[in-house]
Amino acid sequence: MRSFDKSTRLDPALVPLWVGLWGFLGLFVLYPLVRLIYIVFTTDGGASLINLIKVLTSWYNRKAFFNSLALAAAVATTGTFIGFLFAFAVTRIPLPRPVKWFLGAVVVLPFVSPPFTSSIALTMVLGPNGLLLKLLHAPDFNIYGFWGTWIAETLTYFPVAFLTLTAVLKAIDPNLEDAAMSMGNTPWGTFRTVTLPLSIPGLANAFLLLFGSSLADFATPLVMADHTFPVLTTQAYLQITGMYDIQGGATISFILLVPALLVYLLQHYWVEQRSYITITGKAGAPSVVKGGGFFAETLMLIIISAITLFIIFLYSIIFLGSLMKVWGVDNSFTLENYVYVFTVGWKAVKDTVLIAVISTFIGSAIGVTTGYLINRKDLPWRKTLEFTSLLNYVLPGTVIGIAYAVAFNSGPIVLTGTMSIIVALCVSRYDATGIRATIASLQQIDPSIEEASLSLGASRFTTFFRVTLPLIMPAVITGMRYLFVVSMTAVSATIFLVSVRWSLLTIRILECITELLFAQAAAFSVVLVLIVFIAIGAIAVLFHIIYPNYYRQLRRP
Amino acid sequence: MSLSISLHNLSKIFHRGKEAFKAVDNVNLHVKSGELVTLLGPSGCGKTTILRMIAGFERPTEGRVLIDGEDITEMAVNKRKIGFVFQNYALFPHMNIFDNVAYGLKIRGVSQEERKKLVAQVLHMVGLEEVENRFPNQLSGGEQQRVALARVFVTNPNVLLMDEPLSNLDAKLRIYMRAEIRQLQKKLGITCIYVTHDQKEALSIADRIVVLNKGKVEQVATPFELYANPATLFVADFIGQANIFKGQVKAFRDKEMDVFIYGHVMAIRNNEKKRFKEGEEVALVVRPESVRLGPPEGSILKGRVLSRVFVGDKMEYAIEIEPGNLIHAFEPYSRDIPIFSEGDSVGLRINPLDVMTLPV
Repeated sequence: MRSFDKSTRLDPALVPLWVGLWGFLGLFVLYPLVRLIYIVFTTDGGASLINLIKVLTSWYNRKAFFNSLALAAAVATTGTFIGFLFAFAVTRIPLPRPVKWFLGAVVVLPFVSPPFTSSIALTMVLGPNGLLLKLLHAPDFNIYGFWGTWIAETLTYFPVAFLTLTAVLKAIDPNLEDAAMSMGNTPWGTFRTVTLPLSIPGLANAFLLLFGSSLADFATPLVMADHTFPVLTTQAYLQITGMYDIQGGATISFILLVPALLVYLLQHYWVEQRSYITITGKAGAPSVVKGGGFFAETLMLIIISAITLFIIFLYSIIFLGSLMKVWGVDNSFTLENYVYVFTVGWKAVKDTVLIAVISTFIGSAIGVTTGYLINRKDLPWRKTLEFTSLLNYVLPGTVIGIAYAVAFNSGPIVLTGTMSIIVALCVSRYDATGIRATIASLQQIDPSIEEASLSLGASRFTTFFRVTLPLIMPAVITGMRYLFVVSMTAVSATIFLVSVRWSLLTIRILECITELLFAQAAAFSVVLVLIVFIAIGAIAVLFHIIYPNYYRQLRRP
Repeated sequence: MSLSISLHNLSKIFHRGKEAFKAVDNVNLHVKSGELVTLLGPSGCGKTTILRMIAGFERPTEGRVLIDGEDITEMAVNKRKIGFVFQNYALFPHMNIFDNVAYGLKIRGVSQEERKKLVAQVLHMVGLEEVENRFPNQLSGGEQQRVALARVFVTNPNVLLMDEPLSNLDAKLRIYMRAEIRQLQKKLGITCIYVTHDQKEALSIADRIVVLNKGKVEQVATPFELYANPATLFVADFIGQANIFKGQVKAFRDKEMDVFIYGHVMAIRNNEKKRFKEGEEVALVVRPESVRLGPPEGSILKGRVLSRVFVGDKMEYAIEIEPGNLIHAFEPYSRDIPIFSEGDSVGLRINPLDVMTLPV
């Protein structure tokens, strides 16, 4: 560590914030992980590798380990491919504006849906009594297992690749493609020799993101993968809930942690540093963007249309299914399922919204503080702070959930069964987007704007609230939106923390699925998506009321 | 009220990873009350760092900053009562012009009525009318510059620091604004340190100029002194343009010395500050405008025109005296003065009074 001479010492006004933040991170990030590692590596109070050996010698667990990796590779491949097609269509093919908007909207659907949505819909279509199976007269088809999980996860996660790759393709200077064309290359040749090579770091990034997401996915395999296709996340869960073996579950989750951390480090420290795309200030004027040639474009559009239609079909099925008595058996119209949601499920609705709202406010405050501190050059341990604050987000939810269950069930701090444990988890895990958006936003703000405020006599505190905060408000809003959506839809970690006192919508949906109440599950899902949309709208309206002319003022002339 | 600024042994070391970089190296300076001093130097010479240390945005690694004799090295930025004008103006993009200018007043708890009055006054002073409700992005660069000045002046700062305030304006506006700034500064009598890399700007606006190179002060002098009697080769080369030749001292006389150069011996006036020894190498510095061209016949120094560039008010020649050795000569544009073409043989005449001698 380098020594700090007096010219780089920390601003005294920031010390309490810095200490408070480390307290929070210590308690809700580091402490649970330490407790988790502790119970994995001890038996009867002594250090040992027995737990690890026990788990690794079970062939079923080994199978789960390799299944997890194989599934992640498959999902990452298909998801990146589909994501790239969509991104290319939106950025390079001259489609009418409404079509682009529509594609963007369809792709967002899986983001705001509970994690089971595509699984439920797929089951309703291709599962027992499935709609398509009946149409195709193939009643013996079995969707459960690798295929179903693969399809469902691809549909759930390809939007992540889409968003990453859209940004990458947008950042490629169109002049480079124009240059290749002007030197006589065909559209397809230009795509192959310029666009694609420049997107490779982005593709690698998307692949790793999806690999990590699939590896950590809990909800989809829980519904779609049956006992012939075990994966690590569900194994860890079943070990704890089925066998009451918390040590075994913790050990399995620890095994999951290793590849997950590897993927993250690879993505963060290797791919992200290798991007060709650098913002150089003056990019070429946006020219009439060229696609990959007529044949390639047509093929792409056909695939995209098919996938888009399939997604719309699945979501309509959910909606229709929520209005039918018993899916596939009694297709008569009814509102009973919604009555069920608002009577039997009312407590879950209320609890979930309350937890999401509290988490959103606490989480965005902590997120902004963290991002602000990380961005300050004079702060010791900035990199460590950044890494720690993103740790719960980076690690699979199952790992975090089990770590919380282990840490706060006994010992000096007992929080099991309280709302605070769920809120603490949501905040420490989902403030990541807010932190990243805050950092990115602060990097856009010239430090001289804050310095101007200081030199005009304002304190650091006043400067933050009068100048900095209003300027990074869009980042704060992004963070809030993300926090609310994922606090509403989270399941992989929270499933280990719910209790009789605090129930969650996602857990109710899961219960409906296990009891084969698909219509009720669908109704819960629809209600959840609606709440999310209403909340996103409310946040946007709130923002417009507080800053009526925000974007007009900041737009460069 | 205007106050003096003193810098004592000011140094700043930046750490980048394991590397240490000395941006400012033991700078001493005293700026008198009401004076406008420019810090001039190439990029990376430490001029902005010095300014930022005076403002309190950076902490000096060593040394002290004094305002009117009071040590403010450890004082918080917002307590220093310093006006700082940024290169990019740093107007608050989310506030309209009124709120931008009134910001400092609001912080000081000035009443709303008073704020309105003062903002209107100061906007009038910098020549802006009816912009209060507009936002910074709706103003031109020159107008934004005026708002930045107004925002600083309205708080009545003890001293004014300006960091390349004109570098974002186009050439004509730059010349106009620097006259305006100078006028306002004189009218308010405010002590001002002005950072620039543009030597013409520095020469035209400053009472005194501090030339900086690699964090160190090369020379502090009035614009005229700096141009006429540069203390170092760096200053000679950086201020204006200069032909620099190496010669050898042959003999001394009363006010002149004989210098051996290009196979000839030339009589050149002595450097008033530095006495050279016989046989010592010296640098001879000649401004291009001191070199006169004529027909080659009868000239000691001859050459061939390698290139000529017409820039409006003058013709800029590059003359090759011997292979690889160039002299630049500027001839004012006038119908009386002959124009030479590329390839012409020319004779060069230099008045020995216009030759400066400096240590190599």
